[in-house]
Amino acid sequence: MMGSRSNLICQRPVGLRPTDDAVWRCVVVLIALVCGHAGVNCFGNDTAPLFETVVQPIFADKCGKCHGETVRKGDLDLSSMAGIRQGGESGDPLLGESIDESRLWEVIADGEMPPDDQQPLTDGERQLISDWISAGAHSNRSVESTVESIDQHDVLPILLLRCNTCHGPRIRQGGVDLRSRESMMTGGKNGPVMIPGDADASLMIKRIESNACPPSESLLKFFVRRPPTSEVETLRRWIDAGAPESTIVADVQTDRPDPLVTDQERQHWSFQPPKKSHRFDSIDGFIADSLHSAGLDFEVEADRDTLIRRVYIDLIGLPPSQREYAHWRDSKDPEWYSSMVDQLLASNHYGERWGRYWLDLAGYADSEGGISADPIRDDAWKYRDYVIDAFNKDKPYDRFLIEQLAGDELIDHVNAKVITQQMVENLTATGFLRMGIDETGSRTMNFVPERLKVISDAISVVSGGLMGLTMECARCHSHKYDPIPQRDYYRLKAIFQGALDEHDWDSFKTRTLNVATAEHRRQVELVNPPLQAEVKRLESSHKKITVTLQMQLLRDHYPDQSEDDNKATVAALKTADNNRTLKQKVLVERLVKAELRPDTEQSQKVLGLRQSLSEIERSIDHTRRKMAPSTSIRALWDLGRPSPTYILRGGEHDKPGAPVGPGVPSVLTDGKTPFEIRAPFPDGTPKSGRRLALARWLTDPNHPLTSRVMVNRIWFHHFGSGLVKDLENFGVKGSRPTHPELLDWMAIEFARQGWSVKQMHRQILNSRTYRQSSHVTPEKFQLDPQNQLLSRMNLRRLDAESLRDSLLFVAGKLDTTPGGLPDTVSIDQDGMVSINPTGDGGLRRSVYQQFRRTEIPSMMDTFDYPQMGPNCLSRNVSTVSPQALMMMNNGRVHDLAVAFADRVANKVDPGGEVQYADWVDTVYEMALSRSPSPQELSLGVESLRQLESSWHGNSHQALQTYCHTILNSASFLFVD
Amino acid sequence: MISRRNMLQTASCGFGYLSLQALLQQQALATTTSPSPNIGGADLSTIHPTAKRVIFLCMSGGPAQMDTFDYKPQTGSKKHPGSVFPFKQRGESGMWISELMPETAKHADRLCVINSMYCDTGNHAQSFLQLHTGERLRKRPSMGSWISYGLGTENNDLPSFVSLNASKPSVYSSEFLPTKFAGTPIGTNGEDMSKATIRDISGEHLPADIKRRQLDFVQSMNRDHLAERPGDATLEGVIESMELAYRMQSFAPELMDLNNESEATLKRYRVGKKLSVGTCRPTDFGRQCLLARRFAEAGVRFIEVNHGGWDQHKDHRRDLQANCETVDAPIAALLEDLAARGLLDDTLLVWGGEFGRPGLVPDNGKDESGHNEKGFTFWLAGGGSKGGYVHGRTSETGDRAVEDKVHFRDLHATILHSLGLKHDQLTFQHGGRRHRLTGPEEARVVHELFS
Repeated sequence: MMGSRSNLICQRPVGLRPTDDAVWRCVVVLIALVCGHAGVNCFGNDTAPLFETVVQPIFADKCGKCHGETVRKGDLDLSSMAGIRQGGESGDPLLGESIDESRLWEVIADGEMPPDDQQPLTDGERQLISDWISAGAHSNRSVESTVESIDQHDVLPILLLRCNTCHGPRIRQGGVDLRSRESMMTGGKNGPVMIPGDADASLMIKRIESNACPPSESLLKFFVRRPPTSEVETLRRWIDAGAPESTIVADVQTDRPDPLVTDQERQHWSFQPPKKSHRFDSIDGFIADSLHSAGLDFEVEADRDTLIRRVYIDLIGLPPSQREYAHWRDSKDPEWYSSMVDQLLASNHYGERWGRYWLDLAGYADSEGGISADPIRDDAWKYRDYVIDAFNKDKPYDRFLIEQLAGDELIDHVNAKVITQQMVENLTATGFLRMGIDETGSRTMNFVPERLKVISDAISVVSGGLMGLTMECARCHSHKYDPIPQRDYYRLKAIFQGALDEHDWDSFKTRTLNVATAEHRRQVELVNPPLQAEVKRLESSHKKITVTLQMQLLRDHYPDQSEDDNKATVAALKTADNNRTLKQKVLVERLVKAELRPDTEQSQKVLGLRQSLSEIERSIDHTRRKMAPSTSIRALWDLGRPSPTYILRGGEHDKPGAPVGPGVPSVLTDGKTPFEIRAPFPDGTPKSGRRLALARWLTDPNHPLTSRVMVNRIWFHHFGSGLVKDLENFGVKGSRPTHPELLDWMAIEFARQGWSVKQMHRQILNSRTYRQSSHVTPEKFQLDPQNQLLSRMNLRRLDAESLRDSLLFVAGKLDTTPGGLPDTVSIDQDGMVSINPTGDGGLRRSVYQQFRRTEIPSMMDTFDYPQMGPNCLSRNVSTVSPQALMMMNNGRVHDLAVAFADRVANKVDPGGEVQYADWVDTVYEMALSRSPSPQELSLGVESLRQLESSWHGNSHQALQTYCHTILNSASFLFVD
Repeated sequence: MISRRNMLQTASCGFGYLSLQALLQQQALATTTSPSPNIGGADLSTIHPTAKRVIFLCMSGGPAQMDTFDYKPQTGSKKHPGSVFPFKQRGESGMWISELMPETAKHADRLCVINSMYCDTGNHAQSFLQLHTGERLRKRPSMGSWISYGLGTENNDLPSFVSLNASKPSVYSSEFLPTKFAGTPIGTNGEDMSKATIRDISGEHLPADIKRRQLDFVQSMNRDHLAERPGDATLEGVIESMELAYRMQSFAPELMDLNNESEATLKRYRVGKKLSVGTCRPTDFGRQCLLARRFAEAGVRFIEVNHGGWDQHKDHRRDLQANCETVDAPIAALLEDLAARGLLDDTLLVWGGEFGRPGLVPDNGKDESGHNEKGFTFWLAGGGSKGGYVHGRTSETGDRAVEDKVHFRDLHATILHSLGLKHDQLTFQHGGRRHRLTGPEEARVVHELFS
């Protein structure tokens, strides 16, 4: 690791800076004339250009703004030879052996530096720099330098990576703990494992070099790889040097100015706390102001029918029932509108709609994801119910965040005498940080790089979702646009280190907690045993009938096949696909073929058996749903022993740089106030308290991003477009708010009103801005083509959930049972994935479907249901033909249209004379929550007439087709 | 009134059936300043395209190159890994091709073989993703989506990107590119293709005349809806997408109906021949190739033809033979037909899988092979590629590419180049940065592959 850089004079890890000058305890040597490249003879070379006279002024002029002593972008200081030799955060040497190897020249030659928005280097300057590097990068100054230094920070990352699993917090094989110099010298049952000054005699070196450690059998079991020779060399050199320890401590925010982030960068609008504008005190005030400046005004208020449907879909994701619709339409109450808003906010369907948005942000999934397998996450749904409940209860947003980020650090449940519902909720909430794609349960994918990916997903959910910052870039290098140095990514990573520690990893089996209230446990004991027995019984009869069915299929379709072969076929199914003999394969294939024959070619017996099977499946589901839920919680909790965190150069897991401590992005602070962390239970369970500190910092009412990002999300879901267009990027490259004062006013109101989300809904929904019609005049199009000024309401398409739920609702097929086990999905013969009805035969709201990443229900998929990689901060809204094909041709959609038609026919004088006009009226009321206009009425009646004649006089079929047509219309698919 | 151009410039997922190219051409007419960075700044005038469409013969599982196209005879006295099936020199070029591919070998002078492919990982899922999207750990738009985004469609009655016997959605997804550039899957991985079709392409519940009436009625409703919001691009999009869907349902089933193909053609393509041996699944690969030809004729931009089953760890010889037998004649028929119709001139065929396999040592009894990502083979044909040409070389034992190495990203850049697209300019702004198919690392167009 170090060998390749032997030409460098100082070998300290890049980014390491002594906290105290006295710690430069390495031998300081004065060299009369030090040149850039050791080994190149630089004495007596009088004509060579010198750094100080030729290059330093250029660097000071053109690079100094970002790469000087006080401002050190990319952790690089070009103001002195020492800084140049030290290099930047990537750890690559800047000068190299020749100009071709010089990273410094490379970025200059490529035009990468100085960046586009800075003054460029002139050709002359470039020539001078090139000449200087080519001539050997000389300097006229004696340089105080250190000979090679090495300390614990060179070796600890290696030991963490290669040895920690067996000689760390969880296991101390042979009594050995390799986490500190002291513990190495203490050693284990065979005495010390490290003898300072004598690598040859040190047991740890002997064990590593003889491949005794890590032992072969542990490599796959514990997911470690053997250290390469370069790492062993480093260990040796450190021990031989006497195992020196520096007092360099992890880099955290101190009260001294931060050289990596400037105050100027802190001036970006979204990094400054929201500023209260006193110009207006309502949404409409701000909106009207900008409309008037553009010579525009509000559009007229939408008609009552439109408002009813708009608010229903918006708040609960369902249209009103015919009765509800009539109630609001006919209400004489002057406050009918705000009453309707309040009533819907109080509905439990509200949480199902708005909780779903949050689940997108969290990346909620009922499966672990990953590229090969996609195993089910059993208890993930409890987090889903937590979220829905939190929205229904209007849990203050600050509290909501604190629970999700650090619920485990709020109450010491381990030492609690009584487990309360609140403790359970707190722990369930931390599921938020466990929603990303996690392959580390696989037998081959649990190495440190895969674990780092899980951590990076969690960081990305937190930074993108809660702060509107893209931090992923800084995992490998300082952010190209935003002032987020790589160090800050790793400071944030250190915050999660207590719970998501790549060197101290919880496997799938150990990441649930069994914590429940006494009442819950009593329920489980009381209710479940007989039900479990029932499920067992049902499963066993399901198995038996399956065999009978298979035998019947074989007998039906292959009457010549022997009974022994039939039995062998069924037996072969128990052998895994790829282990079957050729004969078994042939037999199984014959069975599969028989199974795939259409129903018309199956015997009554087969159809009957299939019927019984699906009945049993329903009974199983039904019985399961009667059980009390399990007491396990899929949680994230601090283990109280975070490993040290090192910057990873280039994001590579085996290229550690400087140690960093927990902290938040410096650009969001004043750059001088230390980030304070306290262990939450000093006398109880050890916890680092890091995430709690993060959560408290994030929910400070003055936080520049938290409230802005959330009110912008709320705004986005109401209007289909945010005040800041990129919900996930409030950074330098993100779009500016269209109404900055309004955004800040709302952000401040949000915190002032106790972080109540429902209060924000009221503010928005009761505004004139929201109640505008979506009609457009050509003039408005001209002046406000993108509707950035909100000179009208935006037209919005139903999202996948509200479309499916509305279809079911209109067809009278929606089961509104809330919560609990997710509804499973299945894949049919055409590869269509659909959601299965629950045991009671109902189809529940889409938020309750099992979200399996590899099995997205086809209909949802077609309508832009997200894939969660790791989460989804704003969904795509596409308009593509597969949607039209699905609505036109899909059998299930047509079935729903038929059910809808039956409801219509039953409502309109069943058995009486057919009245097309009444049909049309009813269809419009039920599907579109409005009355048809006179033209629509006559168009509808005419269509029904034509359809009836096409259907040879069958008026009911005409009605079915008519209903199907209405469900295909933009009026149904969109909200005006 | 809002123009479609504005719409596409501003909405990340706006509708519109304009391709990037058409858009940029419009822009070039409209303004002399450089195009908006969020849709890439392709300067399309500088590359002369040699191909208009791509057929990607995707051999998933990792085909054994040393027993197909990369001839590795034994050298020296000690046996080493190499080809275990006999090879022959073919065509005027004298290209070495294994006896396992007798039909394809007849087209040796049309093939442009790259024996020096390499990639980053020997893990199937990751490498397969990288082959399709340029990225192995995260989901990204598929190559076909990038190309559709870059060039649009040639046929308004069909999707621009179809994936036959598609593997998982992540390899034909448009991800953050607008959804209309997503691949339309026809049949899923390993499934018998005889019945496979486009999802919901037909519905049985309505007779054709009623369907038309229904469409007319719903469109008249939609136009009324639009009348109150003149120029609303989303509603225009609804109307257009319904028309396309309607046209597709009239057009696609006919396109996919092979009844009017002659008996001889069906035979040449081995339609209906379904070998089920070991890892080789009975998917009716012949039908896929014939469908690919028909889609190419109809102007579909990117057609992926997938054949799984090349991951023959055990029973290497038997299963490899079955796989080769499955794909050999259909591919030859496809080459023959494309050439006969003049389509080979502007259709680029790409053959290969997510990596290759190490060779077996002849006569040592072992019949098991693993994965090799350090050196393997792809071949191109048509679309301006150099026929009868072999590019790059692996070591004596074929364990790694040693000369003129070509990475997946170089291959991607090369494919885009043949279509007239610059890989570093076909970009899309998403999540705070510009993405491209070839990823952040530098990719190289392999100019040597074109004559």
